Amino acid sequence: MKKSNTYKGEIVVRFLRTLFILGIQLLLLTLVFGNSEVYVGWTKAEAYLVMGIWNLLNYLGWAFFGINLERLESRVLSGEFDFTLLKPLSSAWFSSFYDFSTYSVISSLSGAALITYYFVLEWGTFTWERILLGVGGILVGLIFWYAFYLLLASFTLANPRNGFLALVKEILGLAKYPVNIYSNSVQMIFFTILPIAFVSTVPASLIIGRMGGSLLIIGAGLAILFVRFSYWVWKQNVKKYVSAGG
Amino acid sequence: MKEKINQKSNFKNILKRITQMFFAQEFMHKEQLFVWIIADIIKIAGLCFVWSASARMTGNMDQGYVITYYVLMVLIGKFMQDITPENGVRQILNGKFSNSLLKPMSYLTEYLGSNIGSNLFRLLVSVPAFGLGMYITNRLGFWIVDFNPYLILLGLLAVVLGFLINFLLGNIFALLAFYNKNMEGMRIFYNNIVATFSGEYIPFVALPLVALFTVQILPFRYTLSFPIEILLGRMTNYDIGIGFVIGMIWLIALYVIYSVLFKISIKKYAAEGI
Repeated sequence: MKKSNTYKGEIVVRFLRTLFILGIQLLLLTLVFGNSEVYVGWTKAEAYLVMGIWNLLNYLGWAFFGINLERLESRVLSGEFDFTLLKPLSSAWFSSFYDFSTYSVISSLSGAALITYYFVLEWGTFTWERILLGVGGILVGLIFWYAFYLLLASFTLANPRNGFLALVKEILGLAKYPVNIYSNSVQMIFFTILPIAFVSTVPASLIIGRMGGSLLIIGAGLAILFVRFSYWVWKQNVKKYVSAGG
Repeated sequence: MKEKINQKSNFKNILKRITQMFFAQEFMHKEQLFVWIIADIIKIAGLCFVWSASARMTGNMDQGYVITYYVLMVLIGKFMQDITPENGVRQILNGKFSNSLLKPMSYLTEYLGSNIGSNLFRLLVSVPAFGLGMYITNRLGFWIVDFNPYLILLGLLAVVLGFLINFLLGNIFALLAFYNKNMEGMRIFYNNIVATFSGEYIPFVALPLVALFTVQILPFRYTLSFPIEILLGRMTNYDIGIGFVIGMIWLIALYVIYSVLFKISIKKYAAEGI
């Protein structure tokens, strides 16, 4: 926090950017809906919720682990990653969580604002069960987000400068909208092989009450399996790591 | 102070060599670049789905127009990219900008060459993806471009105009690094602004009239959307002419702004790093 506070101008810029993003996303959804009340089976408030959850996960994910995994490449190229391997900690854990970006937390306010807006609009219809399921869904979404990042970042150890993190950003970017905008076959992929539906559409559906707790349990199981798989791939790539720099 | 070599006669050769150098440099990291381009295509495909679904459901715009718009963006976007906001800013902040000042040519020549080299390589890698996108769109009956030579010529001129505007905008932005040492947030914000007002996130056909007028007088439209709109063939000759006039005015204005700001800003510059 103190480190971030050193650049006060940066904090102001991040706030302005957050407002800008929020404005553009609201404009985009307004234009996408046009005069229609419903877009691919979602009302405008529900679409705000999906986008809000995505913003929240995107910027919180960046604040906690995205920023660290992005720096992995420079750490590998400079040879600094050697010191990570010597620490009595999981190298994947340390590489993911050793630093924290306060600036990205500021950007995550755009997500919080959109989610709050939905809650204000739909306040009378909520039950505690749906709220708890929604919170669970968001946590599962965050675990998926981490698993995606870790999986693709791990290849940096064996082969730096591979561009995979740009790829994961854009793949996760597809979850910014309800998955119903995609064709049925693509939706099937997003629930199975590439489970990005669990990032925003499923948590939003749990809050809205379209999906039941069983999907949350399936999602949690898949997320744990996915993280385990990502850790396994990380270990395989650590074996291929060759120290550089000097 | 340095002596400048005869730039007028040598500019072309220097630019050619720098372009070749950066082309080769990009080729060294071809795997990374290939993945970046796939990532870019995924982003564009996502936007294509969003607006195509909107066109289908609301009937506010032609689905073929929106889909073809984004397929063209795969290719046109590669012509227009500018790496200065990242590389130029980094060079100023880490002190390597001093090297550029000592070279017997303007650093803009170097940046221009690096952009052309980089864009040429990205363009070549994107051609198969564009071809595939065009083929699929055509098979589905959504492709609306009829490859009119007149429009292609105007589109290419608009690409050159847009590239130069984007290049100057990027270099004006990079000058901020003389005053501010933490440019990360500003750079991301700048990229968001350019992407939004250039028509990447929102095709201008979806905008209401007041917003459309605003984006038409801003320079960002000319850095991406304008050449695509020309190629789509739905613009009148009058609108195309007005577009070129506004674009040219921006090009001249941005060059003047850049020159003045550079003269003021360079006095602030002190090299850092060792």
